[in-house]
Amino acid sequence: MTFLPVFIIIIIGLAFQFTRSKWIVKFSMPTKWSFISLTVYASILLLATVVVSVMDDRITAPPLEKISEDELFKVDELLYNGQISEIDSSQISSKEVHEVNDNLDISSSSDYVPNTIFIERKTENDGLVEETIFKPLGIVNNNNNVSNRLPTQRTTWHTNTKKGSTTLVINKQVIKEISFISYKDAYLLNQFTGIEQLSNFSSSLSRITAIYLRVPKDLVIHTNGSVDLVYIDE
Amino acid sequence: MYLVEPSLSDVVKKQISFKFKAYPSIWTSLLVVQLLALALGVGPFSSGSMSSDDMLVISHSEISSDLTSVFTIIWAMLTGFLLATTAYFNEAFAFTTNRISHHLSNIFILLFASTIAGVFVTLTGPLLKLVTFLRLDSLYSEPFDLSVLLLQLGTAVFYMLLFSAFGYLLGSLFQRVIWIILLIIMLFLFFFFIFGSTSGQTIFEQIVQFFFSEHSFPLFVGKVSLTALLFFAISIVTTQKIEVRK
Repeated sequence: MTFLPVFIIIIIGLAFQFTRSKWIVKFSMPTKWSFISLTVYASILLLATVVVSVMDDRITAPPLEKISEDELFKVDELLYNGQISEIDSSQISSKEVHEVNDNLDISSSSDYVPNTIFIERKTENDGLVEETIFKPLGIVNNNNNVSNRLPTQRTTWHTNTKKGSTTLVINKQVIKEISFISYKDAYLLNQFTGIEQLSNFSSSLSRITAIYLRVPKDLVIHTNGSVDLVYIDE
Repeated sequence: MYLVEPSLSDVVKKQISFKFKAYPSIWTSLLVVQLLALALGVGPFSSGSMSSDDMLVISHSEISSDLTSVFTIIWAMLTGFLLATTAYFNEAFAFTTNRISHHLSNIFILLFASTIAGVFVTLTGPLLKLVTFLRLDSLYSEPFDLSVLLLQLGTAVFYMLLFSAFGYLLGSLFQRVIWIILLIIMLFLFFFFIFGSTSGQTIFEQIVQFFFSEHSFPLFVGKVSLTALLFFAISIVTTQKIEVRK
């Protein structure tokens, strides 16, 4: 801002030098072609404006879903508190039931942040594990929800009847790159429109897929350290 | 003694008509500036990416029409300056004119040029959006609103008028005494960099705030109109006594 006057003076100085130069005459376009060019350009601008106004729904991407601060960590909070039934069903990616033996080996093939698995023990030994996978969370700039654009991790179950153990492997987490293109009007033009321009996406927050298991009462669970186990009722 | 005494308005109208055709470089330069700004602005003005938890990578590209508006404002100021300088001043010798009609016709040319420039700046936005959509994909932006577009158009036109009037004033002062530009430079440096009010803002910042922080469009129109009128009035007064042709 403080260097703007100097910038203005430099521009004026250059303009003064330019006007004294004789070669300016060589760049003059005949008047007729000047007006034709100007008219063509104005027509292109008007046409673009009409097209944009008509095709606005296609050109403008639907706005990102906003999420309030209360909802940001609601799923996490309910999971840690064991209030699974209070979690909105829209947050659930899949629900499956698996047969298990006496032992369950849990591991993750992801190289990154360890998965957190929430485990609740049933009151009986029915040999079944109820698996619920919750969708991942992705937030941009504190309140723009992009969770539906994130991939959900999948699990692979394998039962080894000879060894009497079941293995659960959490598949590798795929890094998701999300690209946004946004358009912003010139700052000067929006001085009186009151429009809040879309700000730069400068921060993001994410939670990888959360997995909840409801396991038989006496199931022995082993892990190799690549996952964090959170026992809900302990 | 005349058979038909020409009125000032008739002379001004004729001059406007002649100058409109005689100064095609004004319109050509506007076109060049617009195309240059578009060529530079059609790519993302800013982009960035970040990652979080090694899981999510966000990349954001932003297209903006800021460049077009800045380039056009500079063009408006330069056009105002050039219209008042020696080259165009001496060309007025060919017209049947006096200083008043010469200035009035120039002012009308500038008004018209400012309007055209303001329209171009405003309509560049939809063109940039359309080009980006065709090249890449749908983009995040405010939905199209005609009332907003018209308000933006009014804002752009008045800003072009303000800067072209300022350029005209500088050009006129330059005509009077060349060394006055040096005086203005020194005044700029002193008042805009050093001298500040009790609020801590320099004079330049206060002038910028006077226009750019205005939230009421009618007040803004009034401010710009009066300021432009003042600039033009000073230009007319300071060039009254200049010889017809150097």
